[in-house]
Amino acid sequence: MADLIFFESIQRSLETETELRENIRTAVRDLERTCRTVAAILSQVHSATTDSDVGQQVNAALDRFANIRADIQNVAKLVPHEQYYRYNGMFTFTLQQAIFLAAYIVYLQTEKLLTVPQVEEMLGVEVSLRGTSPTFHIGIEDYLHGLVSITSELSRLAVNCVTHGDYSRPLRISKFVGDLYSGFQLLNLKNDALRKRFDSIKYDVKKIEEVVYDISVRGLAGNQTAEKR
Amino acid sequence: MNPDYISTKTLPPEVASVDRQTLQQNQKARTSESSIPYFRNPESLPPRGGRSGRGKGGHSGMGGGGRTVDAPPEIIDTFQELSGVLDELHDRRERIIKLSRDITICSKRMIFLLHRIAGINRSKILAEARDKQKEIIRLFDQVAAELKGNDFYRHHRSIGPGCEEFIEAASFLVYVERGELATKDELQKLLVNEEGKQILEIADEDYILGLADLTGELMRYCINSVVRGEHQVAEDICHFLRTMKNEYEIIDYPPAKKKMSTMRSSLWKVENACYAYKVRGAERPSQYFVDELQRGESYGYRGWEDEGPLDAERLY
Repeated sequence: MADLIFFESIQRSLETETELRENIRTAVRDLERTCRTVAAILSQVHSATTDSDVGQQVNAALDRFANIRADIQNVAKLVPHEQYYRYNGMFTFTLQQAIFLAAYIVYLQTEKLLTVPQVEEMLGVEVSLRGTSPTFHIGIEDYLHGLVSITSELSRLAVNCVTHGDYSRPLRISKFVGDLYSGFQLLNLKNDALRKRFDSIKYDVKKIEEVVYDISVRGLAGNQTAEKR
Repeated sequence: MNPDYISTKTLPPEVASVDRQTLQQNQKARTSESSIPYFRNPESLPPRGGRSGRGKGGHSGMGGGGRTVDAPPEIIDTFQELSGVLDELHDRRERIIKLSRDITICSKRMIFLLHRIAGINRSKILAEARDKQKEIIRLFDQVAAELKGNDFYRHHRSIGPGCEEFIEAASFLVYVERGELATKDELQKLLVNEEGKQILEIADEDYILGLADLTGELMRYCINSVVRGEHQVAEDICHFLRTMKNEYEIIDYPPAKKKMSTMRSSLWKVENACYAYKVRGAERPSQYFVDELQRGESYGYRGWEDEGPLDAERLY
């Protein structure tokens, strides 16, 4: 008759794994909380009336990035060598959120797209687009998800800028989001989550276009830029 | 959506009132102006060149090339590089899934082969099954290079079904040969290539799930044994399954729990078959019973297997 005692050792290894998952989950929850704090600070950009107000919020958010870096490190040190993708599902969403925050901040500061070196600097994590790094890293899909997320935030910002009487920003946002959309069109996406989110960019583009149209048709954009300069 | 359309809208409002011709000229100027760096400086697009070396460059550039002329080159560059990486990733996943499917098919054939065992052809079928197993191991050898280090868990969802099916088939062979449960180490030792190098590690999860599927095969094997009149084999399986089920009850792994109900019903079928044999076998000459069961195989047996334990009553 078969000796089934070795089931116990498997049970033990499964238990260790459950425990590890438990720990990772706790660490991810901390990271999530920090991300939410930063997101809350950044959402005040929507009610900022002047560029210096925006700068203030961005700096306040940037200060909190040290916490995000620390929280990510706490998650990172729990993930065993070469098993990144075993646990990746537990924190991928939160990482994408952190990347989105970084991308949003970089946009507000420079009106440019978040680059890979910038991700590494702001989050303190290696970016390995091909996912070849054996340790904790950010893969291509997380990076792209982070970038997609800024379009909806920017479409909201375009609307709110107009409310505050800033008529030039929506034009710049429109150009930027349009460029980003063209960039995403270069990708051969599979029928996955990223594809779905890519498909939704066009609604953001449309919304921003409507804002730009409203401004243009009333001749508001020209006045504003003239005043400012 | 056409980005040119977007860019028209972003033009200052006075342009909108100018006549069509000026607008078109304006657009033309914009387009050709920004397209110059894109076409004239191919060296500014290193990722594209690198990619076409692997034979995928044309494919990924095709869709977007025409539409993206007015995006700044840094965005085009970034996304072209990303596109190459993404294609590479998708292609690899596709290859792994295909091999996983091949492994599944081959394993299923091996299992069907083992079910054809009936007394005299035993050694021939076992030899054939071992050949099939070697074939599967060769398939694993092909896929192994894509599953090194990090990539094992990365593509685990793609290769997982193949692994499970292999574990099911290999452990079934072990049971048919020796009446024992294959240990994880033992199965792992099978996965070596011709130079004797380990191809792949077996994950605990796959092992657990593969064995859960094994119980279904054992149930069929048991029924076949009863039909052939090999009462002892059937009783051994019954005992074996019962122990295995008890062990499984302890394991705390959600996907395995889903398979528990199938396992319970398999055991129930086996227990019923053993019961039926005992009762019927005792009151009639054994040859008579075998004949009856064999007749059952031609029409009643399939239904029994497919429709659940209650159908075993057809035997009474």
